[in-house]
This record gives sequence, structure tokens and C-alpha cells, in this order.
Amino acid sequence: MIGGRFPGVLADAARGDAVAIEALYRDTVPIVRGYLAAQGAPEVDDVVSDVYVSMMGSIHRFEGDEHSFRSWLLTIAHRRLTDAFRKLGRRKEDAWSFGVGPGEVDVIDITDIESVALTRLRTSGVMRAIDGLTEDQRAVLLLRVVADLTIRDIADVVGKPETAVKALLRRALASLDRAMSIEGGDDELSEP
Amino acid sequence: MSYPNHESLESEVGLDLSAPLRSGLADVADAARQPPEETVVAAHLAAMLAAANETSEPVVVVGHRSRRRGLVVGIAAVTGIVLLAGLSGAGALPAPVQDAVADVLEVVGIDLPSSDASTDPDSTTTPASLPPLSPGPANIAPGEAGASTRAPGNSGGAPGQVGVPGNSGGAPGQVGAPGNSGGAPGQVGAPGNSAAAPGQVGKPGNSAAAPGQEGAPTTVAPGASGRAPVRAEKVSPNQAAKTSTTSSAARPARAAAGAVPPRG
Repeated sequence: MIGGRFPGVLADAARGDAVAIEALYRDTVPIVRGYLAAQGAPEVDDVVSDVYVSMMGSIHRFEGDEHSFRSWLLTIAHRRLTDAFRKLGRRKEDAWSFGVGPGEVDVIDITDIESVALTRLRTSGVMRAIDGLTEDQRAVLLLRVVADLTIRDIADVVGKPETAVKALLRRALASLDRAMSIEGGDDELSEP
Repeated sequence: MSYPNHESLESEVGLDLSAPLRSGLADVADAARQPPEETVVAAHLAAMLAAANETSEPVVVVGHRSRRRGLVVGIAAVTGIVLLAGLSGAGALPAPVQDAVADVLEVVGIDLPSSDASTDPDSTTTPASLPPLSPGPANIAPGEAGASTRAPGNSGGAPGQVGVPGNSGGAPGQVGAPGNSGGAPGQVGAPGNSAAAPGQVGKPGNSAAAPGQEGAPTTVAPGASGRAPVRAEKVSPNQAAKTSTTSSAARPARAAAGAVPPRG
């Protein structure tokens, strides 16, 4: 978090100051990229670039504190993610379909740390459990867990009422809990 | 790291998360929050700076809206002028508007009938086809009576109205004195007096006198009888000749002079 310097940094970035722009980017890119990667965005770094270019196009119109800025930025990321899936002609439900099966792990491009870490998680069962969620449940869960947004912020990002977001999050966690317990049992059974 | 805040998450949804789920969610958060490589960061920052330069450059759109507004106003103005001129030419405007439009367009050389002329159903008579007035007390052009298609000495009446010979300009059903014309409805002028404004008393026998004709000098232009003096001063000699052949004010005198036999 930038903290008390945020208003000045935001104003400088809106004027095109390179230092301020980099400060905003480095402060927020982990959660933006993390959300997109966890959602299984295709060509995640390209989508991240689209998100920040869009941000620069409308940053002079943004008004709010740092917390609101993160929520606003993730709203852009959520929309760019939808656009990216639409371009590919596939649904977000298919996001985790690659590399999930036991025989498909080797075909994943594991050229960076993030891919390796997520791949391990997928094979360990957590990501497989998340893959079993609906699109809305997965978006709400990842915005809460990865981007660390509040219920109200998530409601703004996904365009749903807070009560609906809370219900989605509850059902998502309940499903994960059930799936994790089953996965744990399977893993134990599959251990030699 | 402690992503997410499990206590607040559990309180938000009212669930007690199992230990495997807690650790699994923390692993997901940690794995996803890895920063990109520096080469990727450099590419992203370059794209952002380029976008910032594009948006920071002032974009001045010169008058798209004002040009469109001007075009709309221009079209509306032209349409209004054409419509007004058309209505004025047809004599369909109220008298003050008709006079104003006629005055304005007269300056630019467009000849439109004035209110009094436009109310005259005979005002469309072509002036060029009629000979000029000849001197005389009644302003009767030689042979004019034969060329006229009007009822002899009677004009301005409603269809089917039988007027008194030599009476014109009266309202339907109005009976004026013989040889009296141009007066307001109900106005009684002196016999043989024409071109009198309401309430105006003219000299008997002094109607529509052209220059050089007999009669007392008046401010009325040649043949422009039946009009207010101010209007008459603006009438050109050609207009006067034109109007004189169509003005009902001259007809009573014709009838009175017996040049045109009365109808019926």
C-alpha cells in the first residue's frame, strides 16, 4: 500500500509522471496479475498490460482513496478478463480445464515462478476444487482471497448486491470445504 | 503471508473453515501474487507511459457542435424565409406581417403584395397587360372597361352578392354609397371620394389622381388609392400603375363616370 502519499502519487500519475506511474503499477500489479492468473486468463501478461493501459486512459477521471483505487482497478481487470475469454470463444468455466488432469500437467508452460506455483496448487487439489466452482463463485472467492477486497468492493466489481456476493462466497467456501475433504481422502488413498 | 484474513472471512460468511481449506487458500493467494518478471514490468510500464502521453496531449476538437448548430440555424433560417416569402406572395399572412415582409423584400427587389393588395381578390391582374391611365377625373384608361373581367364597377363583394353599381370594397352585404370605395366596413364617405383611411374625409371627386390629372394634390401616389398615405409614398410609379389597374378604389370613379356599364 502506498499510504498517505497516495493522493499525490495519483495526481502525478494522472499528469503522466513516470515515477508515479511506476509506483502505482508496482504496488498493484501483484493482486491484479494474481487475480487474472488465478482465473486462468489466457496470455496473462497481455491482459495485465491491457488493464494498465485502460487505467491510464481514465485515471484522470478517478476520484477516491487508495482502497477505492484498487477496487476500481480490479473492476477493469475483471472486464478485461471477460473480454479475453470472449476473444478465445470459451467460457470462464473452462478456465481451469487445461493442465488439471493428471496426464496434462506436463504440457503446461511453466516458464515462470507463478506458473510453477499455480501448477503445483492445481495438482495438489486446491485449484481443482476452485475449478469446480461456478464462474460467479470463483470470481467472488478470488477477489476476496487473492485481491483481498471487502464484500462491498467485490459487489462493485462484479456488479451484484452485497447480499448476493456474501451468498456466493458462502456457497463457494462450503463447496471448497467439501471438495478439499474429498480430495484429501483421495490423496491419502492414492498415496503408495 | 497471511492471505486471506481468515477470521474476517469466516465472520463475513458465518462459516468455520477447515484447516486444509485455510492453508489451501493461503497457498493460492501466495502463488497468485507473484510479481511479473522485470522484462514484463518494463514492457508494461512502456505501454502505460505511451498511453499517458496519448491522453495527456490536449485534444482540441474545433467546433464540431457549434458547426452543427450553425448549420441547423442556417437551414431553419432559410426555411423560414422561404416559407414567409411564399405565404406573403400568396397573401396568406396577417396584414401587419404582410406589410412588413413586403417592405423588407421590396428593398432587395422582390415585389410582394401588401396587405391591402393581398386582400383584394383581383390583385393578381397582370399590370403589364393593361395600358397606362389616361388623364381624367375618373382615371379611366381608354378601353380598360372592355378588358376587365370583373363585374362592371362592382368588386370586393362576396360571390353572389349584388352590389350597388360603382360600389366596391365593402364587406359582404354592405351597401355603400354609390361611388364610394376603399372605406372601412360601415364607413360612409362622401360620394366619389376614395382612398380614404378610416375616418378620413377626402375631397369629393378627388380619387386616385395621377400626376397631371385634375384634382386636388394628395399624398397618394398615382393609382395607389385605398392605401394609407405612408404606404402610398413608398409605391413606385410602376407599382402605382400596376396597382391602379387592380385597385378597387379606382373602380367607383369609373362606374360613376359611366365608362363601365354596371352589371345587371
